[in-house]
Amino acid sequence: MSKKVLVFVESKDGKLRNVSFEALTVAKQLAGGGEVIAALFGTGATEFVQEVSQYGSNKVYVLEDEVLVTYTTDGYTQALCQVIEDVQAEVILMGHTAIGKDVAPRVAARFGAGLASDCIGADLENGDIVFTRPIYAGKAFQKKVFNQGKVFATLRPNNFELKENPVQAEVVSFQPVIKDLRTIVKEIVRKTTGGVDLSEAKVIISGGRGVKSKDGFQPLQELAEVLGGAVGASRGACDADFCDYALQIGQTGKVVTPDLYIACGISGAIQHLAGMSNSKVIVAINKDPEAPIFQVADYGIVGDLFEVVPLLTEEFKKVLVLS
Amino acid sequence: MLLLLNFLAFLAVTGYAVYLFVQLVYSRYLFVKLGKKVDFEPNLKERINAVLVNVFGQRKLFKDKKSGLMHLVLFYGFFIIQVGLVEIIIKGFIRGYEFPFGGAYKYFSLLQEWTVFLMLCAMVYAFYRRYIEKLKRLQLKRDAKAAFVIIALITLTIAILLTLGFEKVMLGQNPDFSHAPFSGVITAAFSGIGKAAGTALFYLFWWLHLLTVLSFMVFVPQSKQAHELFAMFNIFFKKVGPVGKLRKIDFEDDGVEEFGVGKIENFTRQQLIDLYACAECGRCTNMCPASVTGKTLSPMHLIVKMRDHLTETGASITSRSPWMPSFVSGTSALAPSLTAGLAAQETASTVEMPNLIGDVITEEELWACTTCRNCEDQCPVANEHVDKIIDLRRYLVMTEGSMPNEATRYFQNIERQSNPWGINRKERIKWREERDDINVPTVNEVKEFEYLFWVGSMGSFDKRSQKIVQSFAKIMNTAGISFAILGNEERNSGDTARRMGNEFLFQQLCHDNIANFQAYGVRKIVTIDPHAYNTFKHEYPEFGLEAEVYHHTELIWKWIQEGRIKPVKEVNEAIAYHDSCYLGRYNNIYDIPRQILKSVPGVKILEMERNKENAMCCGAGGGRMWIEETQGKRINVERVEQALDLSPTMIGSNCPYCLTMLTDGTKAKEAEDQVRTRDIAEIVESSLAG
Repeated sequence: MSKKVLVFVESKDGKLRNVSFEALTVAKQLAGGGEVIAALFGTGATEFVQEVSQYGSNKVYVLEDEVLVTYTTDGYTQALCQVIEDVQAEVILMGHTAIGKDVAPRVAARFGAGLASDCIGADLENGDIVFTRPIYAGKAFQKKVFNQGKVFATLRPNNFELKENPVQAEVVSFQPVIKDLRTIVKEIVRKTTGGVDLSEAKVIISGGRGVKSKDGFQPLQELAEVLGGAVGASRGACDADFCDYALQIGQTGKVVTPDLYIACGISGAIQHLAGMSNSKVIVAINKDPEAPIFQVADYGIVGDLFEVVPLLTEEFKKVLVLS
Repeated sequence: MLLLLNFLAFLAVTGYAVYLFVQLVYSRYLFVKLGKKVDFEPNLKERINAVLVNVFGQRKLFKDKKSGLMHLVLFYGFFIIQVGLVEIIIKGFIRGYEFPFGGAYKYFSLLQEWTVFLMLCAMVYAFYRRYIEKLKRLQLKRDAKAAFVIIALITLTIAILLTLGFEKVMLGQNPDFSHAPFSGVITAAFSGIGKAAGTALFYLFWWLHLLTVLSFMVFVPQSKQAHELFAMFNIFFKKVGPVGKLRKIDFEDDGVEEFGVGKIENFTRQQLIDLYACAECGRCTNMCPASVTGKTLSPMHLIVKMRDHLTETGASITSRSPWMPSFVSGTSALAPSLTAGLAAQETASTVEMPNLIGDVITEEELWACTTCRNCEDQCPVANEHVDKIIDLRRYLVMTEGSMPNEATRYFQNIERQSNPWGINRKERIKWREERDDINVPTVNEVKEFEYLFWVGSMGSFDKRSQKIVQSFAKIMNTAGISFAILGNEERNSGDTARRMGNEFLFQQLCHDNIANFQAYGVRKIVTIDPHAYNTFKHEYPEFGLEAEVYHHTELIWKWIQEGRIKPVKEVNEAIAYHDSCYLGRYNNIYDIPRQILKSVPGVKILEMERNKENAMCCGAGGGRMWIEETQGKRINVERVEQALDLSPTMIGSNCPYCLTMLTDGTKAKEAEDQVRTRDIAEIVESSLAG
């Protein structure tokens, strides 16, 4: 039983988001030999066609429209609905990102369909698509099957293995009719955080009061670059003005769950632990062997972060070059 | 003939003024009645006592001794000169009239003269405080009304002395300095002008006196001077029982469609009297930790804004003009804003009323409150700011679902894991494993126990606070106390949820906790958390808790007195002691912690400038612990600076929340290596032998 699967492909800062590739991989698997269609929004979308076809989409809808350059709820909802109708898609997938969270329920509602949101698994069982999603803050898992209508799902980033599957994609240029926009984005003002998005990063190097100054974040930054990770901070470091509050991780900041969390010069007050203790592997570097951070850490290094971090950077460089 | 004209003019003017006064007061009475009716708990003894202490005793006013004395003179002077006022009015119709007091009259005259003179001095001092000394709290709201009060009362007192002085000139009498020492001076100075001129001037000042009295009377209900009428009723009708206890919401009542207060008329009548009782003295804002550190919240402005909003809303609903006479209010500063010139009353119904939350009071203001009750403690007219703020938060949280992200996260974590961080609830008991020299059984591990030790979420999960509960457990072991903990069955106390406006979550937790207490036959509870202590002691009984509740300092002091524990080792520290709000202002426990510290050899207690009932909040109460503080200066940093001014070697506290805030504050000031922060239990433990 093959299905037509549409993937809404999202780009950010001129790059396609990783979760969209994950969604394409999943789509290929769920399609069961059916068509996988990718939808690319905004001017300059054409240049991504090549990348998208690497993950097995047979058809790429390209919506080169000025209006779709920046995200608006109205515009994207209308455009996506029109693509779905044009394609006659049966399954619609997208990332569980800020945009996905906003647009998916709307579009699903317009088709009178349900939505499986924040899925961490999607499998074919006896021809049914079974979505797995965490509930109760990940304490339990729920499996969902659609018994009628179109299937809508958003996928949690960093949960699906990528599988390349290059094909020759057919490009369809599609002109949506977008009218009665209630919002127009005039300008985007953003804080300069640089590097990888904290909440999506697989590796986070985080600094506390122990980094002592703004410059003290430099070694952390270098390590993050080598590992392709992001830099975070404890509230203490933000308070001391070593970095921007946008980097704050903890009870009153961001909650993160990377694969690797390296805490440098962070004592590990509970307020901080609440934001990172669900990371897969936690490494703590601290001068004080009594620091509570060591109680949640999988690996602890007692030492001065200004010695340890550069050493790690050097070693990782070597290892990564070798591999 | 002239006398008759004079009498008719008097009747007309006075009649009109009295009519306006009655209208104005009646309007405000109706506005207050728009509020919800609540059952009146008689408790007459407590109520009368409050009136005696705070109205006739003027107790709260004396928190500022200078202003207190000034107000005392004006307050009692006001009553005394009423009698003289009647006499002066009669003097305008009957030449040389004196009350028939016989030989006592001269003392009556002396009393009047001195009262008027002292009131004049008090008003001049009031002028000095407001405009020359520029007392900070009196600069919070500067308007013409405040100036009018001073001008009117100075005019009035001077007019009385002039009237009396010229009366003697008119009658051709000599000044009587022994019984009319002040008006006598005027008589003496003008004795040469002749009877005719004296008569003219007598009537001139008689009228000035009368018109000042009448215009002031009409002015009173329309200004902050309304406190002269409303304060006493406010103090009499105020909520009785433990201070700061919140009103229970009945969730079983199907008729209720919204929770909390989103419209001014959804406050109770008793809450609405508060608004007109406000004298705009600024004592609340002066002490408010949020105001002091530059947040938008100011308790005085909160009340004043709601008062003006009530007046506007009330005028609109009842179609009554709150500003009179209309020919004055149209042009003067009497009417604050919307209802100016409401002579044409239909305007009210066509004007859209502003929203209480959003337009009148912003959400930002509401979330800035730490519920420390310093404002309420200061308020001379017994206003309650905190319960209003929480009623408004209740509306935001339970009716609108609008709250800061951190609050949502907090509630979710409590709902799921019964702790603020969302840590697995099965890890609650782990704290007892970290020290092997303490013996802490759960209720299931012992047959009997005297005290249930409520560890609390902070004590259970927070690494720093765990040290406090471990110390207290050690103290109980040493004292040979039989106690037990609920272990993983313990849940959150719900205090913070309640103060953040999530009454629903609070009641759930409350019911679960009480069921647990009953299941294990708990009769005495002890906790290291003043917040849990307060809610168990004063708020849980309404939901069925029957148990004695203790804060750990109360028991530590008891055990020291009984000789069960003996602090013997020297603790050579100069300790700046910080009173927590919930042990202090909420429960009036100031001396016990100090007694404990005194009993520890080597300890020197340093008192901060703001101590005991004036102690400034650490910034964590009312849910502020869990919400980022981005506006103005951090409250905890301000408080720690106050402590550091004393050059202590240690800052002592009695609350895990305070301790966290104070520790963070010392870190922010980079003083954590020189100044340590400790709970009283930790200090006592370090002084025990062995």
